[in-house]
Amino acid sequence: MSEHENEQVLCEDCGQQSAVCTVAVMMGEKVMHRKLCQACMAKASMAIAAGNLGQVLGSILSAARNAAQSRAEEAAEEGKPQQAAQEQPLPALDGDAEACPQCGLTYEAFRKQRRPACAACCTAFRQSVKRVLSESCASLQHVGRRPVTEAVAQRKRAHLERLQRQLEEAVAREDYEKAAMLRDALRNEENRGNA
Amino acid sequence: MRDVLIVHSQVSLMRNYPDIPFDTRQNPEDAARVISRTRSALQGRGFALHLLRDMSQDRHMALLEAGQIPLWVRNDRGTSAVMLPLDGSACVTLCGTAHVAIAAKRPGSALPEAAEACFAIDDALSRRVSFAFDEELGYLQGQYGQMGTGMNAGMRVHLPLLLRSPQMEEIRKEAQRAGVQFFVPSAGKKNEFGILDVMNASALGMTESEICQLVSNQVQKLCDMERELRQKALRDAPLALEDKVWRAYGLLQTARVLGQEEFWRLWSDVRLGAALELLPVAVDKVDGLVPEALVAHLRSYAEEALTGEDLDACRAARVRELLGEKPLL
Repeated sequence: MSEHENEQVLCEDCGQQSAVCTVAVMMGEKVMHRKLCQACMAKASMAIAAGNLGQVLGSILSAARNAAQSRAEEAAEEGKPQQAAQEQPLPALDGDAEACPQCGLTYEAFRKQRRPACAACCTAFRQSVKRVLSESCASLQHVGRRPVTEAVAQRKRAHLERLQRQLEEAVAREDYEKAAMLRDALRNEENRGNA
Repeated sequence: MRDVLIVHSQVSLMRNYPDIPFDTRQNPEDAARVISRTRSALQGRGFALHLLRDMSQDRHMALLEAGQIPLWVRNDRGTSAVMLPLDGSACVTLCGTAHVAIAAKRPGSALPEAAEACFAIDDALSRRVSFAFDEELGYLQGQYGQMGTGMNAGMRVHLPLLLRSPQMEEIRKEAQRAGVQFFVPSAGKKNEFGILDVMNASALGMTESEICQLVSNQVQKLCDMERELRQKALRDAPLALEDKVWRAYGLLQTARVLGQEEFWRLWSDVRLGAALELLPVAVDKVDGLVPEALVAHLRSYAEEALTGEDLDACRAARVRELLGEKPLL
């Protein structure tokens, strides 16, 4: 177990979950730092990003109180125990690795802290990550932007596939002149990609 | 035409490097790699790098007050940095909750414009460096709420009447079901400033423009409800409303000592009066009081480390100056 696995700092606002980040908050004339959990951070982040109300600390506290209160009310309405699922370790799932190959975070440690420690953790513990995401996301398939390099590669793959298809069609039609042109175009594209 | 209920729009894009641990496991050497790599990738694009540990507290505060840099920096180890653009388009924060956070803020309803400013920097970066990306999960993050597009899209709205209404809790729950979350900056239980921040709750399974649209739609609904309440107030209690906003305007124009909390309360009432055209002042001018009346800006203006009553007196003077002092007859 690495030394990091023992570093469990509780959120200074809700006092329930592990703190995951430190936030600078403005207390009148001073900037202070508070350690917050993911839930408290998420609630505060936009107002904090916008900065400057001068009462950000008060707001974080107030938001955390309100959130805890509404969680309790919702749980009471539904007759559920008050402890949120978020505060419990993730259930063990098949298909996840025993440890992250990059940072060495063990699956058990990941289940307790409920958070990936590096990018490789996200794929090593994919099933668990997807389970957490399924609580808040309607779909578990990314549909947004891609890195430019990835987008270029994807366009190129599609272009090569299109050329290959056209080549096969030209051969099937016995249009050998067109097929030769497409073959050369395909070779040029592939050579450019290998260069 | 600008919707006067919307104060500003803000978009952040979070990105992480695939070979460097996320924030909770990051050591100073990792942070140095993040900074060095990002600085190289953005070289020649008009950014100035500032290490937060080298920045004075007042300078740091002034940037925070102006919303030029996000406050969520993880700088307890002195490892965070910010890259400020010379053209003011979008800033890049390094080693916060993500390795790289690109953020842009625009006045009014302008999520697409803020997003475009972020995308331009994201594209420039991703031509030079690789970010952690997965076909299924999108941009990989340490925070689940950002997994996918890595995008936070938020709008700040001024809804002083709606936020005092008893329906608010039901509205919040409904918005939560729709996929947005509210954050109400306030000093205590009451929302005295009338400000609400609305942002997306998750970033996976939707495109960036769908996220912007979701937030915009929810904001539009809230604005419609606020407008109804304003019309009702104008119809049912015009004198009380007029009295409230004129009192606030008078105080801001004449106060000699003005605490920050009082400033915000009065600011909210004056903004309401300006938006309803009950006061002879433009909403933009009222919005311009922020961040000028906040601590670091006042200290910079006075060129002095003001505190206590001196600071409140300076705030009152600055507000009078910006708003146009009420002439004494």
